[in-house]
Amino acid sequence: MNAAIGRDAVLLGFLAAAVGAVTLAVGLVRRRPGALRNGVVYAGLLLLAAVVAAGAMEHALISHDFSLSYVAQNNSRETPLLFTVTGLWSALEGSILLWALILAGYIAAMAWRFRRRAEDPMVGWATLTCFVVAAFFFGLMLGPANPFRTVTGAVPLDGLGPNPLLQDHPLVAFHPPLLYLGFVGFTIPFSFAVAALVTGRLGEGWLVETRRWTLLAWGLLTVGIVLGAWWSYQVLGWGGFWAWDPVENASFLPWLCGTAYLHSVMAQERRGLLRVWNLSLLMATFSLTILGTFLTRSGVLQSVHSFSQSTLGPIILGFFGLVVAVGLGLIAWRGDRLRAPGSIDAPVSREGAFLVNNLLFAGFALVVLLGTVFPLLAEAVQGQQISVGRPYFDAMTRPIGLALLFFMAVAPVLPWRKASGELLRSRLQWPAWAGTLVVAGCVAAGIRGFAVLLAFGLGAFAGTSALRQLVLSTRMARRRGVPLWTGLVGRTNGGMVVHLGVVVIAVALSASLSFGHRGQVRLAPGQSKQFAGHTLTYLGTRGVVHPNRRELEAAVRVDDGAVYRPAVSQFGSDTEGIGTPSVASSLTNDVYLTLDAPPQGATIGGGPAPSNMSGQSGPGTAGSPSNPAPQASPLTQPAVIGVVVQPMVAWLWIGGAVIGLGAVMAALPERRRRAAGGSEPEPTIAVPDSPEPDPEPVVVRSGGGS
Amino acid sequence: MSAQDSWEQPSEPGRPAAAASRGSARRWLPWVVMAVVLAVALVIGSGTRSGSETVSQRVDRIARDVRCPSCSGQSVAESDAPTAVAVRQLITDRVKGGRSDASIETELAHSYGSGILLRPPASGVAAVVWVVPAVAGAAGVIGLVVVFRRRRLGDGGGSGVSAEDRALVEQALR
Amino acid sequence: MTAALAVAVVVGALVAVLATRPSASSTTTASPLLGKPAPEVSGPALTGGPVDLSSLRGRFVVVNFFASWCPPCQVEEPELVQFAFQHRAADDARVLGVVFADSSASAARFLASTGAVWASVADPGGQVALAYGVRGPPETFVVAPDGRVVARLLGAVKATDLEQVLSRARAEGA
Repeated sequence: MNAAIGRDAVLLGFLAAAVGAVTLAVGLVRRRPGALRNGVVYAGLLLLAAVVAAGAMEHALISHDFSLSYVAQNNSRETPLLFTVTGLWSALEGSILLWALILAGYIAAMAWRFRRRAEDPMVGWATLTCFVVAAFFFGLMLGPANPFRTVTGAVPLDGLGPNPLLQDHPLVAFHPPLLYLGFVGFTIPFSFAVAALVTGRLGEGWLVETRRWTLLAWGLLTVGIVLGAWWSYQVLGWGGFWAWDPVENASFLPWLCGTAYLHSVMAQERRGLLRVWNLSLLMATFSLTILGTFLTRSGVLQSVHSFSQSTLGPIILGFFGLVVAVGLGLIAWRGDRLRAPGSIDAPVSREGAFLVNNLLFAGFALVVLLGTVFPLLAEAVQGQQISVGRPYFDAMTRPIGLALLFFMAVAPVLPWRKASGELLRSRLQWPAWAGTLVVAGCVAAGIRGFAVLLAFGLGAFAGTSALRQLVLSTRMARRRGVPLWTGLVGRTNGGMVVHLGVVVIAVALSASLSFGHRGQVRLAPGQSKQFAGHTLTYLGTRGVVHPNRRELEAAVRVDDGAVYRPAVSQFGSDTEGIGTPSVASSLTNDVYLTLDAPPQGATIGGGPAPSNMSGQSGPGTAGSPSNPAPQASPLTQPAVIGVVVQPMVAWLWIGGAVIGLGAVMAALPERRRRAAGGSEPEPTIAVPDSPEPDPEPVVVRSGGGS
Repeated sequence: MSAQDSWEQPSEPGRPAAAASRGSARRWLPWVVMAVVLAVALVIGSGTRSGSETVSQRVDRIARDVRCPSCSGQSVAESDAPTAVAVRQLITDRVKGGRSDASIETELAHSYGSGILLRPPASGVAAVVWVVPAVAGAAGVIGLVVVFRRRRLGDGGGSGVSAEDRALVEQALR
Repeated sequence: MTAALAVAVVVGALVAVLATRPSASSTTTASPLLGKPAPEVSGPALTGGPVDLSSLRGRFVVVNFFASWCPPCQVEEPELVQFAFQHRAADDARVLGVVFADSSASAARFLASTGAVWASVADPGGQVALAYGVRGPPETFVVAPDGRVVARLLGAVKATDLEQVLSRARAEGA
C-alpha cells in the first residue's frame, strides 16, 4: 500500500516535471503565453506528488511497514519516534526523496511568487530549468534510487534500525534538512542565471529578484553546516567538530562560492561590475552541490557520511557534467553582452575590496576542492595512495582565513569608487585600536602563538568594524525616530551581524584548536583527579536499558558541580558499541568526556560485557566483545575516562546562531528606504545629518517586488 | 598626550614647516604607536614556549600528521581506536629511541603505504597539491596588480557606461 | 571564451577521473608489503608454547588477524578451519592467528568454540598489527615459503580464495 502510493507519487512527480518542462519549452519557443501560464499548475502538481511520496514514506516508517526494504533497513520496532521520523534521511534513497521534496517546495514557492509574471520569458526559462532539475531527481527515484522497493521474500518481523550514529542525538532531526534546504535552495538563483543568459536580459534585474532566495539558501546552508559540526561534536566522540572529511568539504564548497557571490553581487547591483564572474559563481555553487551529491553517494570516497555503495555515481556525475557544460556554454555564448558597463577605478574602494574578497574565497574553494579530490586524482594517475588531511587544510586555509578577517574589517568602511586615506584613518581608528589592544592584552595574559594572536587581533579588528557600523545605524535610527529594530534590519546591518557571527566563530575556532588538552584518566570509584584545571570525580558505572539500546554509563562529577554521564551504547542487535560522549559546556570552556574503557566486568545493560581489551578500548571503533561476563564486581574496578578540554567551543554554536540572525535581518526590507520612497521626501543619496553618508547606497531597491 | 608632545619635539625643524608636519604627525602618530605596540606584542607573543619540545609534545606533533588506520579521516592524535593507540605507542617508542620524524614516518608508510600520512609529501605527484594553490595565489596577486595598474594609467574612459547598458539597468530595475 | 574552454577541459578531466574510480568500499588488496619479507610474528601461543613465524619457513603461512567481537571473523572461522584441515597432511600451509584488540581469554574461548587448533599469539599493544599495516579485523596475509608476503585479503576470507592465492604463488615460482 505504502509502496504503491509512493511509487505512483514519484511517477506523478516525474511526469509533472517532465511535462511541465516540455510545455514551458514549447511555450517559450513558439511564444505561447497560454502554455507559460501552465507552469504554476505543474509546479503545484510536483509539490503534491513530492508531499504524497514523502508522506507515504513517513507513514511506512511510523507504521513499521517492513515490506519496504528501505524501512526494513532503517527502522525497527524499537526505534524511538523521533528517529523513526528522521529515518527519511538516514540512508541514500530516503535522502534523495527529501531532496526532491525540498526542491518541489522551492519550485512551487517560486512559481507562486512569480505567478503574475508567468508569461515573462525570464520566469518561464527559470521555471523550465527548475523542472529539468526536478525531473532528474524524481527520475533517480524511478530508477536506481527507488525508495519504495519492496523486500524480496518474506516480510521481516523487525527491521535493522537506523545506523547507531543516526539515533544517538536529536540534532539529526535538524542538521540534514537544513543542509538540504540550503543546497537545494541554490537551484532557484541558478535557474534565474540560466534564464538571464538564455533571454539575454543580463541587466541587474534578475539579481535583485533572486537576492532573497540566495540569501535564504545561504543562511540555511550556513546554519546546516554549523549544526553538522555540532552534531559531530556531540556524537562522534573524538571531541572535534570539523575533520576536513570529504563530505564536510562537499558541503563547504558551495558555501564558499555562495558567500563569494553574496559579496560580489553587490558590485554588480551597484556598479554593473563582475557580471561574468557572478554568473560563474552561481553556476559553480549549483554544480558543486551536485558534485557534493556525487561524492556522498557514489562511494568513491570513504567518509563518515558516505552512503552505501550504489549505482547512482555515474548518473549524478553525468548530470554534474551537463550542468557545467550548460553553464559554460551559455556564458561563452553571451560573452559579448556580459561586458561590464563600468570598471573598478581605484584599488582602495568597496568594489576593489569585493574583488580581493572574491579572489580569497575562490582560492579557499580551490584549496578545499583540490584537497578533497586530489587523493582520487593521484591514485588514478599514479596508483599511489595519498591522504590529504587536516595538516594540509590547516596550513593552506589559515592564511586565507586571516586575510579574510582583515578584509572583513576594512571593506565595510570603504566607500564605492575611491577612498581617501583620511577617511580610512578616521573610520578604521577604533577597530584598529581594538585589534591592537586585544593582541597586547592577550600577550600580557600569557597567550602565546603568532597565528592565534593574529586571529584574535584581526577578529577584534573585524568585529569592532562591524559593531561600529551597527552603532552608527542605530544612532541614525534614533535620530529619525524609527524604532530600533526596524532601523537595524536590512541588508547592510544584517551583513554586519553576519560578520560578527563569523568573527565569533573564527576566534572560537582558533582558541579551541590551539589551546585544547586531550588525555585519559584512570579512576576508581570515588577517586578524583585533576585534568587541565578541572577536577574529575568518578562516581561509578551503571547499566541502563532503553527500548532501542543498552547503555553502560559512567557518572563523572566535573568540578564539584553537575554529574555528566559518558556512555557506551549498543543499539539493537549490533554487536559493536558506540561511545556517547557527555559534555560539560560553559562559555569559557568545554569538558568533553568519553567512557574509553568501562570497568572490567561491567555489562552493557545486562547484555554482553565489554572487556577492556588490554586497556585499548575506544569509543566508536572498538567493539564490545561478547564474552559472558566474568562477574568481577565492577563497583570497585577503575574506569578509563577520555577527557578533552577546549576553550570557547560553545561560541562556535553561538556564532552560528548569530549568522542565522544576521541572514534573517539582511533578508528583511530596509525600513529606511521604504520611508524614503514614502510620504516623507528624503534625499536619496547623502543624508545630511548622517555621520557617514556611505553605509549603503540607495540606488538599488532592495525589495524583490515586481 | 604628553608622550605625544615629547615625540614631536625633536622633529620640529622650523616654524613654517612645523605646522604642516605637526598636522600630519598628529594624524599618523596613533597609527605609528599602534604599529609599534602590535609589533612588540607579536614578537613577544610568538616567542617559543620556554624550553625545547618534550617527548610527549613531539609525539603529539607527529601523531597529528598520521592517519588513524581504522577510522575515517581522524589522526591518531585524536582517536582512541586500538590501532591509533598502537600507532601512538610506536611513535613514542621511536621518539624515545632517538629516531628522526622522517624515519618514523617512513616506517609507518612502509607497512601502511604513504596514505597513512595526512600531510601529502612535497615531492612527487603529491607536490601538485601544494604547488597549484601557490601558483594560483601568485597569479591572483599579479592579476590584481595588473588590473589596478592599468586602471590608474587611465585606460581610456574606464567609466564609460553605454546608453544601452543604462537602459538595461533601468529596465531591470523597473 | 578561452577561459570557458579551459574550465571545460579541467572539469571534463575531473569527471573522467571520477567516473573511472572504483568504489572505495570494494576490498582492495594492495599493500606496500607485497613481495617484501613478512614482519616477524612471535610470542607465546594462547594455548601454550612459543610460536615464531620465521620458524615456519618452507611452507605457506596464512597470518590471520582476528577478534572475538568481530562478526566477519566469526563468519570466516569455519573456512579457515577447513583450509587448515586440508593442508594438515601435506603440511604445505599453516594458519597463524594474531589477536587484534581483544583479550587473550576471550580470543582463546572464541578459537576453542570454532574448533581452531592452530597457534595464535596475543598482540598486546598492537605492534604486530602495525607492522602489517592492519586497519581492522579480519585481515589476512599469505606468506610464501620463502618468507615474502604474497597476498593481503580484507574481510572474511574463503578457503577457496586462499587456495587460489596459493596456486597463483606457486605458478609464479614462490
